[in-house]
Amino acid sequence: MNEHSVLMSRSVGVRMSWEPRYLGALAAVAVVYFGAARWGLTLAFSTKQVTALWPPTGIAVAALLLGGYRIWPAVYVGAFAVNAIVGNSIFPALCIAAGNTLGPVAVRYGLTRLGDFDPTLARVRDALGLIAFGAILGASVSATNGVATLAVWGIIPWSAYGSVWWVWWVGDAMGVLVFAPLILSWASNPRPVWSKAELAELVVLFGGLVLASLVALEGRFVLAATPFQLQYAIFPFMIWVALRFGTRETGLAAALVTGLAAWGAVHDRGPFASGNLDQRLLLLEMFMAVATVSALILSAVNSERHAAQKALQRANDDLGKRVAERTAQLASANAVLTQKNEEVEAFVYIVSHDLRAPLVNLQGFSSELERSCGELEAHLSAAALSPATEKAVQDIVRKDIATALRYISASTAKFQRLIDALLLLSRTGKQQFRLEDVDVRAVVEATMLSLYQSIANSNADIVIGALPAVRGDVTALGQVFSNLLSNALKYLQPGRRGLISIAGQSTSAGMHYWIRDNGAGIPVASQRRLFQVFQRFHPTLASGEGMGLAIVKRIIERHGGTVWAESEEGVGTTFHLLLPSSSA
Amino acid sequence: MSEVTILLVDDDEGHTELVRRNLYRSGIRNPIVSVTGGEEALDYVFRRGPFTDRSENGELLILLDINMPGIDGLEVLRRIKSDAVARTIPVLMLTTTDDPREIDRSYALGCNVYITKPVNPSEFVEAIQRLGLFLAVVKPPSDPVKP
Repeated sequence: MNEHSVLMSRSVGVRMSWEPRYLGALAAVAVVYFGAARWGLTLAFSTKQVTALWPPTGIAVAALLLGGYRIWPAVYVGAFAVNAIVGNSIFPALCIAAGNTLGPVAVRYGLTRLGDFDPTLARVRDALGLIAFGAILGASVSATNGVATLAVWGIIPWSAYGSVWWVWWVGDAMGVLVFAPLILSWASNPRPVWSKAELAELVVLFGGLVLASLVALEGRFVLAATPFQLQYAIFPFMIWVALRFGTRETGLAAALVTGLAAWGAVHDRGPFASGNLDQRLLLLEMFMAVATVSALILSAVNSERHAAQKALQRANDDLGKRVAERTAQLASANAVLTQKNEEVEAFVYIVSHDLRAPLVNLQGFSSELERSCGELEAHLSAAALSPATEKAVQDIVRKDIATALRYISASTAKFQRLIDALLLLSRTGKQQFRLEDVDVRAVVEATMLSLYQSIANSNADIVIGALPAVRGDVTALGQVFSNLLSNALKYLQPGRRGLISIAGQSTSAGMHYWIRDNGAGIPVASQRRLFQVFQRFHPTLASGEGMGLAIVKRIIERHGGTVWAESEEGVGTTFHLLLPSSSA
Repeated sequence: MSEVTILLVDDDEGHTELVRRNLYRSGIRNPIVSVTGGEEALDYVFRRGPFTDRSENGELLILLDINMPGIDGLEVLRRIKSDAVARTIPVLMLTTTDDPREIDRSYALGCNVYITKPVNPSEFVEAIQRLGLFLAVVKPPSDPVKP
């Protein structure tokens, strides 16, 4: 909520307490009101009790808006005192003072009903609210009441009601338009912060404004009563202040200009000095209304623009901050992942090397045993043993030991292959990639060339579709296509002519490639483990260590891509690769 | 090459035994000394500690494993090859590690041959014989076993 609402609730809370601060505020408002009226009277055209600008109404409106309804007694006392000194007798003075108080009270009521009124006038709706309720409604209340009082007491004839009402109304309305914004904006924000440059600009601006006003509104330096309508010369300055500064500076400029205009008109100087009184008054009021209303609204529009700009900037900064935070989070998550990955690599590396040492012994000593068995047999035939004993020993050496040794060496050979495969995977994870634009078609053709023998043996048809280029490591991608194609060739459905297609296309998600076969397919239950190490799904169809797809996944993920498979047992399998686009 | 002593450095005694058999079977009858760690190997080379008064005084040829607890093979190699006198001793790396980076480091440190276990016996023996022959023909300028 805005400051005004805060002021309102505070005023309700202490409504009837006669604390010194409240009394002080009342006295101050009454004195200022009275002083402003005295000054306003000097702006009256000497021939009639007509003032072009009635500042007290503006002061009363501002005081009630800032201080709440409880300020009304000050307005009433001030208004009564003014009416008393201009020569009205006591009852008309009391009556007029009542109207002059009721007007500003009505303004506050109207703006409160409107809701959300901001006394800094930083929004167009605040400026328009003040114009509608302050100038039009408030001035109408006091003018209607005041002129009626004058007519009732016979101070003016009823026939003059319309013309006097008009004069009264414009004076009050101008008072509100000029002085209420000035007081409201400065009271809500009394300490302006100007940079040196802004201060210099203000000096130039107000200097120019005063000079232009003296020339255009009072005919100084030109002619005593110039026939030229020079008053428009002040508009550039009003626009300047409204666009470059806030409502406070604009209010000040408006007060300065209207004050000087009224003063010039009253003293028969400047553009409002010629013609009959009604004409001069009309011209003057039109000028003052246009100058203040346009400055007020322009300033509010500008404030809104600034506020919107600031909000946008804040949102922007906030967004930037959040993006930076998120990026940092991702980076640290990535660092953790990289570290974990490195730990796993190191583990695989160490394990596979340490496993080799006992393996060397197993292999070496099983060959030694084989050799010893051979020697044993040679000695056996030379020794004179009974035929039964010789046969028994030969059975042990040739069948039992030989079978055991056969299993041992088959197992150690397998052991060796598994360790080599693990090491290969570990190296796939560590090898340095050299990223370049890879001609995928050339890579696939080279792969087919190297798998020429397997392709010929499988008797499969291979169809190559469009294969757009992608950014990657040419050797690693070659291995990916080689592993996938040799898998497709290895696991074709026996008894069905093989058909393998390889193609790709550029998509919004990246470069998408696929290898489709009509082979044996992968059992649904196994698909989850498809890309894990040492997984073999058709051991009867072909030999292997079950590392091919793990290496494919490894390489594709190191390229920032993903790999997945669609498969139906007995129908075929499609492997999909999605790699980041070259531009990414 | 009867004067050349072969020093086997390996923490796995099974490996040492297999190497001994391979060498014997290939007709190599040189004295063979085996130690199970880097510290011991350096003591032997520089005639320190238990090897201060070792009886073998001929040329040396070292078969060196890499992965050993304590001082590893690469460190042994580095210390031998950075010694003004001992640097002329031929060193044959005999290890389970076929990591290209380890091979590169070994050659950078000055090893003469790098062989990966499990060994192909004939290839291995040929390498030994070449190094032994090299020792027999090209006499190093100084006594390589004096510290």
